[in-house]
Amino acid sequence: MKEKDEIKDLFKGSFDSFEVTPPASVKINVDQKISQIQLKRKLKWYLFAGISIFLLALTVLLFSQGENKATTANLASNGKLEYGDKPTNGISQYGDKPSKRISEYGDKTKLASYKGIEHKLNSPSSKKQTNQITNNSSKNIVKNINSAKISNSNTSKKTDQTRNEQQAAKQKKAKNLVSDSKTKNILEAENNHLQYNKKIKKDRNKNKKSKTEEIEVEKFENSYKIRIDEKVDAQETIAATVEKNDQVQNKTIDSNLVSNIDYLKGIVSDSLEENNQLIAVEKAKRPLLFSLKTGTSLGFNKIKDQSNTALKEKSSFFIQTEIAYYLNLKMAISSGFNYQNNLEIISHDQKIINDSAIVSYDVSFIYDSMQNVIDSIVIAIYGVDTSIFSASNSYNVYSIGLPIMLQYTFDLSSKLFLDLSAGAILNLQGSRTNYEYLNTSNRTINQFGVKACLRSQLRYQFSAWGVSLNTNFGYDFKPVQSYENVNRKRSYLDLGIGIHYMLK
Amino acid sequence: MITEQVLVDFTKGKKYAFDVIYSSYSSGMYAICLRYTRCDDDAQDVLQEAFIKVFKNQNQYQLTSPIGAWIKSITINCALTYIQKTYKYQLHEDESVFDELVLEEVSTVEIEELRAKLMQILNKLPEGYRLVFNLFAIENLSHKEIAEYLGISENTSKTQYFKAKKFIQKILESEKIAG
Repeated sequence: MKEKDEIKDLFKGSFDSFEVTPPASVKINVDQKISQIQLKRKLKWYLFAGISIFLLALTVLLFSQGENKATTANLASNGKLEYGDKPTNGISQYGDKPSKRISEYGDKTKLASYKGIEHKLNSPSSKKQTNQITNNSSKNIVKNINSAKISNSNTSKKTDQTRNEQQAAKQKKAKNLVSDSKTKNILEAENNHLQYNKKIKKDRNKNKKSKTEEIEVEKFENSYKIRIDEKVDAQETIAATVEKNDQVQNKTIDSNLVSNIDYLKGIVSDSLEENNQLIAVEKAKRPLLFSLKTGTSLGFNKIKDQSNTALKEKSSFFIQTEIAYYLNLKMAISSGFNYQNNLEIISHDQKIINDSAIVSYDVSFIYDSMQNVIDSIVIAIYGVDTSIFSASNSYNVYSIGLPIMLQYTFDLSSKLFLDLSAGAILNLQGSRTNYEYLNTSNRTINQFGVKACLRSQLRYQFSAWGVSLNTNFGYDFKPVQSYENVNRKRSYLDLGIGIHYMLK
Repeated sequence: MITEQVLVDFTKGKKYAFDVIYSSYSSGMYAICLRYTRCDDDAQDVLQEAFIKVFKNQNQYQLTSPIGAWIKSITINCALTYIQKTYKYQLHEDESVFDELVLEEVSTVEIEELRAKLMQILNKLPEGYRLVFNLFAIENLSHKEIAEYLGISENTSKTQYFKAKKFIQKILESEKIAG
């Protein structure tokens, strides 16, 4: 013991404050490596941001194309609604580009209220309206507009000045007429809408078995929508009515038209004063909610029967982009992309006996110079010299997730919404070792993981744009890392903020 | 001078803070690297790797704990990893290895010379002995910790230390450095 202490003390004493200045080349190399690391970190962020923006843009583009290709259904002159047919008498046509949406109607048209169809009244302020004016709804208007548009080709004999003056006058006249007609349209449409509601109630009382009982009318900003419940039998036709001055015309809608859609939108001509014919129906847009969220993520771990082992996580960040696709006004499914980065530290407390010679007491006899007389007695009592040593490993764990959520929206006010979601997140996972102090041969990395997730989101929509506060809570069925003999239960809590764009 | 502000800035990834820390601890850590490795070049490699790790893992450093101990643990870990990868050491059970070693005489025991001599002795030890001796005698780790560090049994650690100590003792006695 004495020898051991001497050697130990000798080495410890010699090397305790031992310092040697390293060559400058080491620092230069370290600096070079560090600048590379910093560059890589920046690049990673740029790459991540770029991919996110690209995916978001791609999604928006794909969906917007899908919207443009929305099938147009027309009510044929025989009183049936059909998809995709080119307009004949009384049928409107809607091209992809609004600027080309000038419908041609042989017959006079008018807003109609009807069963089983959604009709939409565009507001005068809507830009679409100017593009959707039908030339048959008001002969004067169309005539004026057409003449205004084609006047350049028909006035070769006139002087430029005269032509311009005439053109300006015609345009002004057309504008006034359009404006007047729009105002009338709104009033009439409002009236029709009220009448339509009354009619639905009346129908419900008359015939409880009617398919039209399933129809609900809901108001969206400047339009009215009629929802047809999915229970409607696809094999049957649905009655629709066209109303004018309390006269009701019965129409039928082709069953194929409504078999797969629960929203229909009636695009109605701006000019309503003379017509009473249902002119068109097209599939309504289902709202899409684009979200970009970020915040901090907290992980909580419970370990059973391992009092000397602890598993901790440092708060980390998450970022996610998602698109919620509304199935109806309240319910939506959402999916997207989720990235999360955590720091996980597993530590193990060990009791260390610093002095292996555990002696409760020791007695030494000190003799005087005569060698046979005890001069004094020294009694030494040793305590057990122990300390707790905590060894830990640190890992950077990350996951790239695909969330699949079902969302329900509560309207707290016209601009404030509470979105509650539940679902799962499917993860691709990985781990990088930061520091290993313990022997971790018994560590397993789970490349695929599943999390259950509950979310609440308080969203304020300014207009199409909105902001939100988010809380996600969930349980991790398969954490990125599992350790042998450590029964780990992981849950997590995310707190974040988000920006949103509502596309209708 | 390492102030609290420097440490805070270090955890935020500021380069100047890292430079301050490097200038304060590089000498001490280099000495540790020299003890674990066979030559200056290897020690420099280990030191470089250790400080790169320190920079990479700056966000893991907890302000409440002493930074010196944190850097030291990273440095030792880097040294062990380097030794395992580069030297591919084996633990010696046979004491005959000592017979091959030539003992040199030491006459003066000035502190610097003593330190240099002790370093020479350490360097003459086979890797396994040297590692265990360094960890136990100088770093003050227990055999249980060393066993976990090196992935060996506690008894092997004790045996290795005992044999290393025996060898060192033999040299020291012959050269009258200790005792």
